[in-house]
Amino acid sequence: MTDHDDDFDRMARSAGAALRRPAPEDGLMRVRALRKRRQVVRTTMVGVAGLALLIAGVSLAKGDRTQVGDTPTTSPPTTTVAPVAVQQPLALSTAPDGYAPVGYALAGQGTRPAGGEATRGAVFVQRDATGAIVERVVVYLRDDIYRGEPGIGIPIPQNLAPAEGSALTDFTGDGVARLDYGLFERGYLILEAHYENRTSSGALTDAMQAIAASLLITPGQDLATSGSLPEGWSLATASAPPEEVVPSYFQAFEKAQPGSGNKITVDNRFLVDPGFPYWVAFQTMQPVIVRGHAGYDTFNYDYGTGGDTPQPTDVSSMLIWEEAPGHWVTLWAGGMTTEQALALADQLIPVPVAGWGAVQGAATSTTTTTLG
Amino acid sequence: MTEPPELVDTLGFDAVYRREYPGLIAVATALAGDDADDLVQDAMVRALVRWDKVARLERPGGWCHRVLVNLCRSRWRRRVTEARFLARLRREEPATDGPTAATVDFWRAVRTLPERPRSVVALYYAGDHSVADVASILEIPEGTVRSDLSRARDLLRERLEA
Repeated sequence: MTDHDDDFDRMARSAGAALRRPAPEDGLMRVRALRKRRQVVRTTMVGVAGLALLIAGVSLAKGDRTQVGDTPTTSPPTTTVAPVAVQQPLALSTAPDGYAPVGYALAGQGTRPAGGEATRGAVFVQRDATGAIVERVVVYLRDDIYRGEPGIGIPIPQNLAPAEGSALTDFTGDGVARLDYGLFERGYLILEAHYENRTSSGALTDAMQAIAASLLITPGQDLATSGSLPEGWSLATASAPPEEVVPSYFQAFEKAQPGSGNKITVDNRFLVDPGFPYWVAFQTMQPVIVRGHAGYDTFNYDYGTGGDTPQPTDVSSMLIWEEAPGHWVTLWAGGMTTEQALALADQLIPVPVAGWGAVQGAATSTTTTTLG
Repeated sequence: MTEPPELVDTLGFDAVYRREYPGLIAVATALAGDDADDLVQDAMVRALVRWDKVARLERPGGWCHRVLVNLCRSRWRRRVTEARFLARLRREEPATDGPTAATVDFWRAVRTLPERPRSVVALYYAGDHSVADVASILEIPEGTVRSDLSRARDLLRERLEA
């Protein structure tokens, strides 16, 4: 190590020491409280014998966007999208000190960078007899070598490599049921879904396991399914997760009074992908016209933090629509009805944002296909 | 009188929590910034959930660090809705003296490094782990840790001087 390195080491160690602090006094209490609310379920694939989790390697093809469709499929070809003329993002306020809806204050705004960590993903939905979406499972596949701890979790019998990988179901306090599959060098598979209460979540997590077991993971191709899905479930979209490949411009507002759960956020993302709403939306998705454009109306429960079982504390409206070709806008309106959210959407204005052209430029380099 | 096994394990968890927390919070802050508290808490909840097994490991603290690094890598999964983003903005944090501008700049530069060197630098400098410990936590050879550190030093010097 050179003197130069020694100087750097001293500086870096000092920067590291500055981040260390003792455990907070209530830290153990909080960990124990959260532990009560988290249920670990050792999962087994015995009941889904015959379904193949076919894993042949890890795709490094970040940014590829392909199949959108409701039928089981193998990976289709991709289509390059031509660049679209630059447009301005929609927002409620033109500047940090500018106008905000009455009773709200601007909490944050700016460009949110793409994550760039999950190479592939998919969204599975369950529809009722009328075709309405009643459940949604989001799947992510990352390149991480996530081993977990040997002996913790159980092997996945269908895994091609012997006795590797582990599956774990977590019920987090914020209403997310999550299955993690450490697949060693083949990647790290994550399935997430929202659950309303733990007593009825068994069917959901059973479905999540069956979905995982039906996945076809092929190098260089998007996730697909063997088609052996639980009743009512189908593949809605498969691609690189949009937030992984496309940055966005957002504004967020909060009710001025402390403790209010009501928020407004508007998010602009540029990507040519009719499957995008499936990534964003929560349970229901109803077609709706927003600002004269086709879109969807959905809602989300905002979960409280008290008690062992998350309780919906606030019903909110979420609108997703395509303002212009490739320009998707998401408006999340806490505590508002659909009608109120639609009226709020009408108030959105195009705003000049430095760097928005680059945001669009980033999106135009992706590829996609249309709904099948 | 011998403590019941469950109680012994629980007491062991408390000690591990207190011992490992300073390093864990430093690594999480280095890798994830504002989400550090939540990530450390999540890692320790996972440890407590599996404590009967984690307690038997030779280095429970190393397991906690490995889980934490994986959680930091997976942090993006927690985005889900703007609601959570706002919840973080709204949360009242205890007032503490913040890090200096130089510290903030250093870790901001670290977060621009590729994933593995980023984790190596955070564990080595923020977590104050040895090269051997870092190699064990990330399950990579010690030589890789050294080469990552060396390359990271060059890159960080370059970026910090730019």
